[in-house]
Amino acid sequence: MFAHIFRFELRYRFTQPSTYLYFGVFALAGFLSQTVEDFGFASAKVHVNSPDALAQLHFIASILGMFVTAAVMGTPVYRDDKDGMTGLVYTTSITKPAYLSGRFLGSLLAMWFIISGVSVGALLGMLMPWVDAEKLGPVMPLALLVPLVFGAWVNALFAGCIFFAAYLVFRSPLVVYLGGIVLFVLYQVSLTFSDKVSSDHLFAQLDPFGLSAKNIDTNYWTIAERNTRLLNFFGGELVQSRLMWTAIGLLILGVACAFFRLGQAKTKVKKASPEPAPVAVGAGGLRRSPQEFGRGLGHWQVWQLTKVQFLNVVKAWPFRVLALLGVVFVLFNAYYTYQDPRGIQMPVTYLILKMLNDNYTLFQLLIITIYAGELVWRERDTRLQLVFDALPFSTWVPFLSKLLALLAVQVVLTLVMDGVGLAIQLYRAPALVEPLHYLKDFALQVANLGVLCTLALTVQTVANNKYVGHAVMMVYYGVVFLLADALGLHHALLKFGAAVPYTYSDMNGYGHLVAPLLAINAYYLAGALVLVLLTGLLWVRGNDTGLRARGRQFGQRMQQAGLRPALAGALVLLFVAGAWVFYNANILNEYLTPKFLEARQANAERAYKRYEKLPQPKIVAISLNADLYPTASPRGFRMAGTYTLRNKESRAIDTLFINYDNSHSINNRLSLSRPATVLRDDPAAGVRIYRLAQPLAAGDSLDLRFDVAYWARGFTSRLKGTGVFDWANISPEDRLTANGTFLNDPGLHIGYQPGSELSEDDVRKRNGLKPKARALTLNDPRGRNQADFGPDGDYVRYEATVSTDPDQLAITPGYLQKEWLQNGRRYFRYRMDQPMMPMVSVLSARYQVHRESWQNPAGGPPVAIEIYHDPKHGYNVGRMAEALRKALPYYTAAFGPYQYRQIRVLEFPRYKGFAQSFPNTVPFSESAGFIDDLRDPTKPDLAFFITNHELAHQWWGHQLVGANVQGSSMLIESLAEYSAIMTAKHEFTPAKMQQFMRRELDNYLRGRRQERKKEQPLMLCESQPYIHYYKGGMVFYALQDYIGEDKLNGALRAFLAKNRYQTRPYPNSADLMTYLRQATPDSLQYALHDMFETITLYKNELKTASYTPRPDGKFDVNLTIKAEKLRADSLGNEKSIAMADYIDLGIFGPDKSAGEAWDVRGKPLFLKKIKLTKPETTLHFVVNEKPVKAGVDPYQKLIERYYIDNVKFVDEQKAGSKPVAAK
Amino acid sequence: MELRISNLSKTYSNGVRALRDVSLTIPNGMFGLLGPNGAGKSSLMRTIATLQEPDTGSITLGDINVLTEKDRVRRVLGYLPQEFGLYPSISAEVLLDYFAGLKGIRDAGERKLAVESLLQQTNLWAARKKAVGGYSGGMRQRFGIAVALLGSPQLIIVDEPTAGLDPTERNRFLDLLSEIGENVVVILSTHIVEDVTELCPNMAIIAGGEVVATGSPNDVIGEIRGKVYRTKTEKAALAQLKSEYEVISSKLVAGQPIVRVFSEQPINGQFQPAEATLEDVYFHRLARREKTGVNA
Repeated sequence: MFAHIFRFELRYRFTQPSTYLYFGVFALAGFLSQTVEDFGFASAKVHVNSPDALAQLHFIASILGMFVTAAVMGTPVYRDDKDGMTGLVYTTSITKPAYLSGRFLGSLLAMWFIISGVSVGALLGMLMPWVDAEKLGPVMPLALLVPLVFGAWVNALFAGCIFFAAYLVFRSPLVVYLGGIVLFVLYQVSLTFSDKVSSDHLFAQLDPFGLSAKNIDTNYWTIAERNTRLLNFFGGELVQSRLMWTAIGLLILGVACAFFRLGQAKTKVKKASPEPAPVAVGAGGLRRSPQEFGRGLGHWQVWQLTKVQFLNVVKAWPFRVLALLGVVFVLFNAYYTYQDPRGIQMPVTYLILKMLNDNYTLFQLLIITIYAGELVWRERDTRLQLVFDALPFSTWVPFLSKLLALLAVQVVLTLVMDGVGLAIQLYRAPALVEPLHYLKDFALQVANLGVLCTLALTVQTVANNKYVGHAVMMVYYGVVFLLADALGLHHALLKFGAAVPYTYSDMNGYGHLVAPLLAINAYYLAGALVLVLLTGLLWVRGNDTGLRARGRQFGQRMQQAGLRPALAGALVLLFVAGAWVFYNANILNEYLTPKFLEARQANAERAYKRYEKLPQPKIVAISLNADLYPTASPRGFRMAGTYTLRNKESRAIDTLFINYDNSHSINNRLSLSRPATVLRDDPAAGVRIYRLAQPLAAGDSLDLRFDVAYWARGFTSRLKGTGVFDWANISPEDRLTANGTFLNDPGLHIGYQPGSELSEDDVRKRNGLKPKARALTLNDPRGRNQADFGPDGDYVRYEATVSTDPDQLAITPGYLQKEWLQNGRRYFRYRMDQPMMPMVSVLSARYQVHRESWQNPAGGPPVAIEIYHDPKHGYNVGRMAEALRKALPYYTAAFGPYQYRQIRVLEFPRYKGFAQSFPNTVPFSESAGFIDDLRDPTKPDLAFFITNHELAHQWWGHQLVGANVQGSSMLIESLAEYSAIMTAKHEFTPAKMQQFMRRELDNYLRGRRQERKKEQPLMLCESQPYIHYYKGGMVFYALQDYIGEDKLNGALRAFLAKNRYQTRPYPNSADLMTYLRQATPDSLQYALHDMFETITLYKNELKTASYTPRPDGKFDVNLTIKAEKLRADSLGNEKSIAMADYIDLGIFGPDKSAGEAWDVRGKPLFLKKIKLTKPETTLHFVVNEKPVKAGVDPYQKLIERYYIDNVKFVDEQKAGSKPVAAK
Repeated sequence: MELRISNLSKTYSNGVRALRDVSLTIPNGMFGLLGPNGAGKSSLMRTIATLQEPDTGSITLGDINVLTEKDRVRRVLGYLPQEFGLYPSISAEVLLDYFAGLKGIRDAGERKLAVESLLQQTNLWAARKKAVGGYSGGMRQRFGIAVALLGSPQLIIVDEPTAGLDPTERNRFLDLLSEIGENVVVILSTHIVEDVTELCPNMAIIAGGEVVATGSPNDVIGEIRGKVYRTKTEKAALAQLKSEYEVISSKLVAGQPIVRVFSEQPINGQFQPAEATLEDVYFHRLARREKTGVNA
């Protein structure tokens, strides 16, 4: 019996074209992952067919393919119900187990076949001859098979159980889909949080599809491991995840099967009502009611239908469950957002709205997709369509009413969400509620939802098959929402229905993004209007759904009065709005694509690389007049002035190579103070080459005069990666804004700029360039004669006059000399009284200023501390000032005097999220500290830390500048990071400090995973942030722990004293190493080699820990320690090396505050560095108090991937049992 | 008002020829459409009810071109399909009110009266508060009738309306129909000959997508009047009889077959002349058709 049903199911599945269609879709995804750039899960050094990328592919495919699983696994029993077969099938001698298992296993087998398409496609893809050999590793069959079986198949089994069970219990295909949404949400939740809470086991297990478990298991995998190591499905988080969720799936299936009865689907009402007794017919016979078909009937009918269908959706429990789920999801998210150990922010309105939109978009998309199908098919699903369709309403009535009903549902959901956001805000900080901002965001949401609802209904109508409609919408979301940029669809005109990206800033509001938001939304809405009209014409009415009949109806409906003008009007609107967007993005402004920018950079390199070694004069003085017009129409700026250039070479220079900003919206006028001819001017590359009439003699100077102007014209296309998201290519429109201008220098550079070349090898390759070294070698003579910041100049004189709106303050490095009003504008004159690095910033905004000062007790002038901030963002201003007040004495004592009489921190809008240190001036993003929520003192305090990191750059970066060679970013960034860590060490509680250092370690280890070329040892690092910030921070913090804080600071002080303002040659990291070596005792010299010159990791473990109470009230403690030292190469291939290393061993009392199991937060009963030489060592200690935890390197000062096994609870050894042999 | 159907043909995409060159003229009053399952009755009715496009042919209702002026047709149309479902969780009263609104009865008071009247006429008054999902087949059918009769339809198309009704309800419904049928066009499809005999001044027999007979029942019967004979026989002799005579029908009465045959020439013997009925015409035509079909 079973075999019969099983075979029947298989035959059914394998004769359905949809089976092969689904297979083909999966195969295509697999194929594209191997053959199309940016489509798969590889990176520069990770092969497209590496086990890691293939595993990711299988996981993602099985998750996104869940809707296929729902369609295959949710429908076997539904088919019998739908076709009215149940009566026939269930009355045969079939048994329930045979029936269900046959149907289930048959479908499962089909599903497994379908999902194998991914592997087949990927295998085919990697065998294609055109796949770049460098992107390809060896073909490993197991790398396909293992994730297919344990990833994709297990997921299909689990999801299949759920879908099959959902149908058995509820007998409703809608519920099957809702079950899919629930699973998807679980996955999203766990993914969101396993990213936030890096090592949390809970979230790894919460994801039913195992992707979070996989991410945690492979969190710290190096490039080499990602390329070669098979995922271990029999260990770690993965094995638990796979077993647990398979078991849950089977359990749910089992319960559902037990619950299921072979019989008709139940209807809501338990039994048919008995026939009432006939009643005498009322006199008068049949009433013939007058019908009114006059004007307004259509509207009235739309209203009636909308109301009924809206209520029909929102009154049903599936919808309510879904809405509730969304609320729970958002609350859950909010809860964890405010628990994030890496810092939390004030619940300002835009962050709340962002959280809502980020987390709820998915729900809305799914609800739109599913309910569009339900609404379009509502009459047909209840078999009412023949009655309904013959009713006297115009054909646009049902469609329009369904659209309005769907939109109304979305509006209700959005309002509910806004309510949740409001509640969160009221709970955490009621003063921050901005009702108007909610309203504006609501309007944007509704516009977008209107477009999406229209599109979903159109797709359902045109496809005329609910499931095909769902699939088409999924493809649409994939293409437009997820992959648009990867597929080269950059232009807003092409991303119909996608949310228009924008950044809201408390300082600048919607600012200059209002115009594109309005225009692009108008274009999408006009498109939606066209769709509404066309879909009205294609609406299925009656039972004739053949193409021919629909075509004929289309023709007839086109004849309706008013239809053609309406369509023409909508098309005109679409065209006008589209043309307006195009005019702004492509004609008023230059339309840029990433590929175009790459090609332009590559062309510039090919044309001008030969000038790289051409001797050039250096900037020695900058005089700047900057006039800012932040609120004028058009907005803009004008920067005029001179660079004084001096020939510091030993011979005369006759050719001058000038770079200028090649943005089309910037007008550059350049001239020289000496006669010269323009040899070449290349506006595409932004290069001008002068031939001087008289060569510039050694030591002689000339002036480069500039007049650089920008006027905003309309709005630009904003590309991900080149618009607001990437400072380097950011268009000036985001830098000169109504409130919150942050400009750099006028964009002029002297000499060829290797820093502007394409840096990534794979990007270079596709643009026909050879790979390039990221940095010059440690002792490269040319590099040693240039500052790390660039070859333009050494220390320079700087003065500037800046003018702006009368209600704004304008700031640039230097000291304010004079401030005046003239012609309704406010002028500021600044001058720096000592040479500085040629790093110029010009800021202007309506600032409120917090001022205080610090007096060095050792004498000297007081240092003014000034925080320029938006009046709304006063929360942390005091804390930031306090940070400066506390760091100034520490840095002064530890490293040497502060060179300025003032330090200013200035807020700028969150179009970018960093802070950067200019001479006596620190621009600091709105989102990087000003809105951090520091009200809970146990939470991380990044405002304090980042402020001090930037202050430290006044020493490391402005007093001491490394050469333009490898390792210099260690001198600048690692030392700034270390300095800030030391101020934190003296400020934070040990628990908070441990939390903080964990962040450094975590960031370093995750960064290695993403390396795109090669990991360098710290002292040779090539501007790799994960090394120079996080490894640097770890290493210097450990070093001060090993050799002593004073000792290390003394070495740094001596190094700085020797090299302060040193140029030509600039110092390199080897110079610092000399000082470190001198300060380090012989016994620890090995550590310098490990930390700075190599990539060294530890693999320490506390294997056992036990204690026995002693009669004298003390405690015997026995610890077994495993220790291993590993040396890694640039891709993370590790080998074990001999060790004789001093490592902390500690025994602790009970934790005094909550933390992870592997944190120690108790009183140290014993803590000492012990020299470990063997892989396993057993040690015996006596402590005075009862021990609770013990650990090897318990504070995790050393770099180690598996730190969670370093600490253990100490077990009591029962008295009388055999004591462990003590050494 | 007169419904005129000319040369209507329709072939479905699966190759089934549902209508072949159908031409009918249907005046005011009840019009019976008689035919076996699959004869094309429903296709014809759906086409008239604007729910389906013919391949060729035309339909006019008075001055309305039914095929192109669908909106005008729908305003005067009352249609009861053969099979339909209802939103399960809504009460009859609310649902009928909803349909009344969609039918253009915009005045709330009038709508209430219309709903009450129809619920009483269809004997659903007592069950008006119940969800229609719990209705029995007959109740649902009556509800469908109520929907079809809402407003003041000029063209009423009811497809197998009496199927599933018990005799009382059937009578009540047919009375209702004939009451309105005086001034409007009512097309009633059925395979129950009695329905037509009792009610319809005009009728057509349709089989295999073709009109095989049309006229008043009397006219239609006229062609075989006096040519029908009946006899009682044994089951074993039935096959013999069928090969010798043109058998119209055979029916078991008290376990014994009663056979009716058609004959141009008088026949004697065991046969007695019988009063020709519409049923005889119907079966006769079908049998003839079948034969020509086989021969062709």
